[in-house]
Amino acid sequence: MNGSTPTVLLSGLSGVSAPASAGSLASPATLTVFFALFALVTGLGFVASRWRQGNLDELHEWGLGGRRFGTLVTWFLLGGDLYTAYTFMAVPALVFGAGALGFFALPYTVITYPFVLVVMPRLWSVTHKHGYITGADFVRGRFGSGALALAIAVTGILATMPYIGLQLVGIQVVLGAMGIEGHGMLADLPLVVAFVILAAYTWQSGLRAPALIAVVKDAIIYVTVIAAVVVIPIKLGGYGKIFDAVPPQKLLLTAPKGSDFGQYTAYPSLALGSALALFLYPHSMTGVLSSSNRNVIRRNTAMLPAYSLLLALIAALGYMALAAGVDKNPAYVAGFKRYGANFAVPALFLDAFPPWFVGFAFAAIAIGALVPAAIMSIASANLFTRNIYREYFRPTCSGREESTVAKIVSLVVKFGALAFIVFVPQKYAIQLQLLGGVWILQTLPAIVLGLYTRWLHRWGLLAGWAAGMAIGTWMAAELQFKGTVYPLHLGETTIPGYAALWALIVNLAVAAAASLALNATGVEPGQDATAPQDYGEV
Amino acid sequence: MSTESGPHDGRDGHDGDDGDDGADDHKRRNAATDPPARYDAGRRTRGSRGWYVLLLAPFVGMLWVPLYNRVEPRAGSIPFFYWYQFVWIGVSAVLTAVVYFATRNDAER
Repeated sequence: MNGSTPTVLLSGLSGVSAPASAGSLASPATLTVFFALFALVTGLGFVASRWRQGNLDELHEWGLGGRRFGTLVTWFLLGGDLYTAYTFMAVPALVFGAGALGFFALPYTVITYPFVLVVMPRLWSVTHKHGYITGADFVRGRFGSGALALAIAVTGILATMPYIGLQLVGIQVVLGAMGIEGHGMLADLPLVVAFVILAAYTWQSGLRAPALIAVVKDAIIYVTVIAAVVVIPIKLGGYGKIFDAVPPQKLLLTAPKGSDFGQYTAYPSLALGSALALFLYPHSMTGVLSSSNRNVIRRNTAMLPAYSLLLALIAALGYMALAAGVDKNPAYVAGFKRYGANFAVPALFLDAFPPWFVGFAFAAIAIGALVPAAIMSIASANLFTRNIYREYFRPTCSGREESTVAKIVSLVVKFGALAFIVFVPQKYAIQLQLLGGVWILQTLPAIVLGLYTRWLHRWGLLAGWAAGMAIGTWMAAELQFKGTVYPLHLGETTIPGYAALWALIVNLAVAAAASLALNATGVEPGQDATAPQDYGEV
Repeated sequence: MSTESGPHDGRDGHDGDDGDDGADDHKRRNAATDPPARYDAGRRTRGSRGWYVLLLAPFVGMLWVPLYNRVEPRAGSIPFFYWYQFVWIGVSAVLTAVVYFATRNDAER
């Protein structure tokens, strides 16, 4: 379907040419549909500033949509937030390459919502009562510690960057699959163009843009996925054939061997660590805090699993790519060479769909990456502005200045994300998200336990955080930032587990021990600005 | 929304949580926040907290790998490992919904 190499379309952009590396330029039908949809959402992004109009010079209007989002909008927004290029590309890529282990994303999304149902309404109530717009705001109020709040804010920004990086990889692979890629100096030009567009409407409309686009994004993703799970298995001869194509050693998790627990501990630890980390990310917190009341969140925990069904089906695309043998197809060899397993889903779509629908499906992936990237950069910008800029540089800054700084930072963060994919190249894009998880999970003791108890001392929490960050980063470095499952050796036994969880255990132990000592010696625990009734029921 | 009246500011329930008779009554009484009503609500919450135990089930069912790391029995041609976890998405959503409805009156304040 992509035989000839019409480079005409892009001939105006020197350096961006199609042929040779990952494949030839996709058919005109593919490109037309793709760019039409892309133009549509870009238009929506700019129009969004008028939707439920508010004064966009105020940070809570620009960055939280004025806290007016009801159940349905929150559902779309959180869906747009949590189901990203991670879901559409990274998870099936891992399934394609590593088999059953890649399915950890399923238990992850199953257990995250019960956790959210219990914890997040409390956070909503207390943040609403006190006008907090970030997790670090809450920590500052709860523990009266600027240092701890700073640590939480910095962690949030740091952890979000590789996650945005994952979205960039998603866009890059899709563009590459259509033959749109730069060479040499301009290798990242197409990506930069996509991001300038994203940055422009984020600047203009704030959180309203991704919230509105999320609706369109979901519609085209549902159509794509339903088409994929119906059409492709028919072409491949049914699900039986698909599972038969999976090598037996990849079909199940590897059982413990001797004193090594193998994937029996790796799998659940990845699921649990990811589930606990999910709502600590600044962007998911933004989704939660922008809802109009706490029941919007509670209700959504029962509705969001609808997306998990999608995730499961999309994960299976990894096996479909195996069964279709796309990696052995000469047409896609170059793509796999350049993008690794991340190319599996784009190759599968190119293989199975007519050109115009390839354009539709690729737009689904690209827009599915742009929406969360926008929300993530807004959330990081909120954090920086509120908890670093206003706190340490300009305590007296006006609301207008605050929202301007946030807009600028949302740009800076996106380029930080670019740096991650340039300097920490990954075989599996999912490692970027898992790396972010290692860091963000270290904020759990202060934020989540902080919702329930003041027993943990602010300096104890800070010490725990520092220990967790150090251990987690060290483990990731030991794995050369190419993996996050760290084999812990305890005497004779080897327990492979998600580094984020190991680090959290250290974090909690240090925080508890230090708090015990600090509380016993009567070190000033800091002022608690919140009262028990601020947290609502439960 | 610039009100500082706390989580209960009259917007609650504007989208879809009607249709439960006792709930509205209960809420209005709480809106007045007279001390006896508050105390009453607090007590009731403790009673319905038991529902939250249901939420432990997905954690056990999902994190204990030996429960489901096998091929048989298949559902159609799909190995157990896969359909078991798929089914849990639905089960967990239902449990979450049950807990939401069971604890709703107390929390909707």
